Amino acid sequence: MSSRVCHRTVRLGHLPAVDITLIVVLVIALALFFDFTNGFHDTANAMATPIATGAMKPKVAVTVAAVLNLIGAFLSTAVATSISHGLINEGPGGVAITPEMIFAGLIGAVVWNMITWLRGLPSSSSHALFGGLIGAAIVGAGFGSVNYAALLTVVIIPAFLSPVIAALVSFLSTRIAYRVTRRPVFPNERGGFRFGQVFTSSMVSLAHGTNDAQKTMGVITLTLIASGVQSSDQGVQFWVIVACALAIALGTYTGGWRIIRTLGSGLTEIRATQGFAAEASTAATILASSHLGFALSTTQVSSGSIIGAGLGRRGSKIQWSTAGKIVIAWFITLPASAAVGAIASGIARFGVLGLVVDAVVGAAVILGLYLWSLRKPHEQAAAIEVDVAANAVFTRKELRDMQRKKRAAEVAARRAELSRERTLRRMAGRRGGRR
Amino acid sequence: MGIDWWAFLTVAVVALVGACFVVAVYSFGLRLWSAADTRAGKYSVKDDGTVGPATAGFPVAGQTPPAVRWFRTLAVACFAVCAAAVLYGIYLIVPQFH
Repeated sequence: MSSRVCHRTVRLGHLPAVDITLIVVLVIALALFFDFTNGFHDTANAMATPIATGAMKPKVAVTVAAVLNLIGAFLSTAVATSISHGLINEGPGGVAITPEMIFAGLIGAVVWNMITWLRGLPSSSSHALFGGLIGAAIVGAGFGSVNYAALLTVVIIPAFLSPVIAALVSFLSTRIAYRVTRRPVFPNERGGFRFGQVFTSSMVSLAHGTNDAQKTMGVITLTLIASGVQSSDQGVQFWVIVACALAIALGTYTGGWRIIRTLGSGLTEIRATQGFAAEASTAATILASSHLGFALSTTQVSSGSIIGAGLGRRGSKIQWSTAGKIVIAWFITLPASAAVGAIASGIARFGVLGLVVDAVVGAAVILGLYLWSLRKPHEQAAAIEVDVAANAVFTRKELRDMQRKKRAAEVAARRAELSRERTLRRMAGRRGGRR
Repeated sequence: MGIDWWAFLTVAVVALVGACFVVAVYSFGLRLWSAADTRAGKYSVKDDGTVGPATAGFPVAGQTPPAVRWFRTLAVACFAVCAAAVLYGIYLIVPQFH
């Protein structure tokens, strides 16, 4: 056993002290909710392509992803106590971030996650968290509190590079897969890629669980330390790990069907070979980057991979308008959640009353967005329940059937119209005939 | 402020080699498997070039030529390499292992 394991001192039965203040309760509740949104936002990264190609049934896919996220959350030992990756300058006297700022930052992150989910846009949950914290820190502690060099290296440059790297890798591996399995005369066995997809997408899910649940654990632990409930030399408490793991697993199981739709069939029509190549590239890129010292955004890598896989198959089309929207969302994520975080942080400066106002307004906005999502169903995806998932992503056969049905309906409608006497008279009366 | 371009390049190259290797080996496995099927007489090619069910004449129905066994073995070897890659990936993901 290496020394890294010792970082986490698991304390069973060590219940939080009685003097937990309002702010600590608020931060923990909001952090767990952020974890939940993180889960349903990012299910799509791993499970969009297997659902689209029919490698896994939607319900099975989200269950597998949820279980792997749960396991992953328990596996991660190196705790990110520096949740912000050095983005926010911590003062010489320890942590400069106050729980109020963390609270405001979380409001920004959660609200932005909800908005992008509503639009079905895959955006990085981590960037939303960073953005919220940056905005809150700027308002709470001035412009000097943000480390702009770190901002450039941790967020901006990877945001440009990770989709490009992933698309390149995925493009080449799609090409290789098609070239190797090309058999003009005999049937090729490309259906076998469906089986392989189960493994590659599970890897992505597991990697996601080990990375992302940690951020929330870090937020809660930092808050507990800052408020004096827990001493700084202790690791993450056991109940925090359990709560975070459950929150992210539950979020994953709920499934962000809107984003799954975007990635599974909105960008390009994915076939099993492409899905396998894309997920293998995503897994390889994420593992390589996290083991060579820095973490690329899972969301950006998997979106890039899907575009690369779309480019790799001859005859496949990419919806560049959707891709453009996604890229715009990536670049807005940080400033937008920073803005919300800044506003929340500004309100929180008015003491307890400000916090209560923040909490109430934040809850109202989140509830409003949720109700909005129910009122305006995203095209065919009527609700965000697991049972309707089968309708959320269309397989190729269903799409073909739908097109055929639509064409038949059009022809029938035209025929019915022509059979009506009024139409014929109007057509006869039209000068110059049909144009 | 030093941006570590070298690290980005390393990640790109490692990811490229790793993903392409796994995908290529898995594809080879599938191809070998279907080649074995063909040689075992699972399909027949009609005159118009389309593939149909096995017929008595093509190529040797009922008996397995030695090539079939070789192809199957190689295909299984390819899948084993992929399984090893998956296990290595899990080893990389789980921090307790290293």
